[in-house]
Amino acid sequence: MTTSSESLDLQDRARRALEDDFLRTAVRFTTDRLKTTRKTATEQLGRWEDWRERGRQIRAHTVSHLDHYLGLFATNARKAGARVHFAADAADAERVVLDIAKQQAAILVAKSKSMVTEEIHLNRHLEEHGIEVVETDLGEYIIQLAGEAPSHIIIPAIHKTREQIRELFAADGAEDLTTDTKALTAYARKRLRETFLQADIGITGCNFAIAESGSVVLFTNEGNGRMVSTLPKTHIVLMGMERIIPTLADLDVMANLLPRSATGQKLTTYMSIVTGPRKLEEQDGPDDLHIVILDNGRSRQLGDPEFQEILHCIRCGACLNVCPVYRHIGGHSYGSVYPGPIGAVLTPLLQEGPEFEELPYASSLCGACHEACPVKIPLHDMLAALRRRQVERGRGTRGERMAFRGFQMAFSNARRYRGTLRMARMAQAVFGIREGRIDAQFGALRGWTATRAAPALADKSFRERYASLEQDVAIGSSASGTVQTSGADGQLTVGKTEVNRDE
Amino acid sequence: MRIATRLGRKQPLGETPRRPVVGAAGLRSARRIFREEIIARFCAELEALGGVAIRCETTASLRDQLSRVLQQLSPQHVACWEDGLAEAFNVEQTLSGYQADGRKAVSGTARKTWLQRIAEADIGITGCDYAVAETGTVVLLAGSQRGRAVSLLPSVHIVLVRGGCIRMHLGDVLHELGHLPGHTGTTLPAVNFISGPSRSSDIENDLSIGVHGPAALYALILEG
Ligand code: SF4
Repeated sequence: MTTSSESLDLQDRARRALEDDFLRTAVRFTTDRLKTTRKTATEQLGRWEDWRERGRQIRAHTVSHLDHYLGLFATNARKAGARVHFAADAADAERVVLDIAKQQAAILVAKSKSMVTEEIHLNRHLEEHGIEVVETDLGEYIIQLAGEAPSHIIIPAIHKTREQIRELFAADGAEDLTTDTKALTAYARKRLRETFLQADIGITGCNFAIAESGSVVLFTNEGNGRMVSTLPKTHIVLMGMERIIPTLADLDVMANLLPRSATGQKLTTYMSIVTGPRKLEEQDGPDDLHIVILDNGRSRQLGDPEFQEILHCIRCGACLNVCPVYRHIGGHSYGSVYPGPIGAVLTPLLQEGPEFEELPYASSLCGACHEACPVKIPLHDMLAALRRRQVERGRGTRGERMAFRGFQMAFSNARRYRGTLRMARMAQAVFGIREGRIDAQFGALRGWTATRAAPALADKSFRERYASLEQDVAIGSSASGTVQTSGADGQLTVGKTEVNRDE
Repeated sequence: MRIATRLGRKQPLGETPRRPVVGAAGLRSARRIFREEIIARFCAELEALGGVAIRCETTASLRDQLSRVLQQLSPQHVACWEDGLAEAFNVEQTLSGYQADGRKAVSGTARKTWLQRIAEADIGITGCDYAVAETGTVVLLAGSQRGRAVSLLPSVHIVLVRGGCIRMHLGDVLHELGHLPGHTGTTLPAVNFISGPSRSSDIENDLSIGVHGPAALYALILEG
């Protein structure tokens, strides 16, 4: 599955999203709602900060001993009768799943929502091999019909109107459908019911994997996760290698943090703990349970003092809902599987290369994401660190690098600084000054001044005026000169107010 | 191996590392909670989720309540756990009129047919092993003659709850699951925590009920 806007760059995608009014209203409405319900739910629990801290401790302990807990989980899952596969990257994981599908001669796969399968583009791969894959989460089903990718990690079809959904369902074969939520839901229920019962394989993600018992834990609301893990003969779980928690007791903390942060629920409608395949005497449940544990760039973060903590993430989406940038542009603008602040950090870490380098810049570094995160991941620090790392590795346009090098040269030497200022004053006259601001209509400065206030330089610097100022003060006259400060961009300009007018 | 190296170890850590606290220890107040408070809370939370909680003082009143619910819903076919649940709650008579095919006839048939039958049932009746008051949750352990699909495929789920199995917090239940008699961690049966009817907000944020799972959940609580 591909995003229709995949080929555009970050700026174009963001601009396009900003033009889509419905999207903007929808995203803001939902994220507002999730923000308030989260607040209520966290207040109801009591001692939320202590719960968060405990959550952080559990994640930190697990991730820093992942070698042990991952091994323990695999051993116990095997003891429970599951088959455990390790996959180093997306291609590996795809191969494992395809092999299982071939063994089962599978033609139909029912899937519940899983970000990991999105990450490795599993659907596309299976479909290329003639296996039909049906997304069964209502929102995912809608966007699958539309041929799009999810735009929110909890509410994937946040950007679709009910009229659009009706049209998609009509094209899918629904007759006489109204745009009533009930009618739309009823259609999906009926349509997907057949899929659940006929599917050869069910694929799910995994919210948590418990090391001490080898269990997989799934949180869902619609019940499709239960269907997919109960009805087909084979159940395949795809999990990121960091999904582990040590014990059932730790699940208590996670089960209190995750739904409250994600949807403001005390608990999702369904929480299933699956340990191994169906027991012999059971009437239902899968005969085979496969667990595919995916690395795909995750282990690279281990031992990295700046980024190891990204593996603490429990994928709740709270950081999306509070992010001013996400709230404006929505999920598709990020062009990556994981949107929002978590995506802006995780994506470039998992997939090194030029493609997602600009993602860390899709943030205002306001820190709201850190405040909201149930396991206290310092996302804003990581965003800044990523930007720094990229600059160190030579990212940034040549002009940008030159400008900063010039900046360093000019400011590290007083005489050079004075010279530079005089030159700059001449240069700004070329770009044009409007109401005390540089207003570049062309050239390299345009991108900067279009969205920022760039105060113009005074015709005489403070240094240059210092001598005459002293005189002014001495004479006790301040009529000819007023001292003015302007705080934009942290720069201090001192000068006469009337000087900076556009001539 | 690669993981251990990245974490600065020559070999993967063999022994489970110690840590000061496990789980939610110390996060909840340790005050004593009485049975009545627990049952009342469970009912209130379940109702808030759109479920129906009916308190019954005796087996006789539970039987009456169950027939009332069944009459109201007038199902064509009812599926029920066959692990002795009906007998234990003394509702065999009440159910007999609703099972055209006979309850026992369903067991033992091949998996696909069995699932198809459950899918055709309008109501699924199950027991539960635990319940969580704080979240309005019933907790079902899978097992012999306790089909997972019975609480999943029919449009209505009726669950028979013994008052004594309700705990205040999720953590209490998780703790007991970790110490199930006759089980080690890896032999744990499949456990489903169910909190109210199935729901989704995927269409323009409009809450809809009964997307894939049951659209209604009734809990009949036997207090005695
Ligand atoms: S980074 Fe934190 S807030 Fe964001 S999805 Fe992960 S756990 Fe949730």
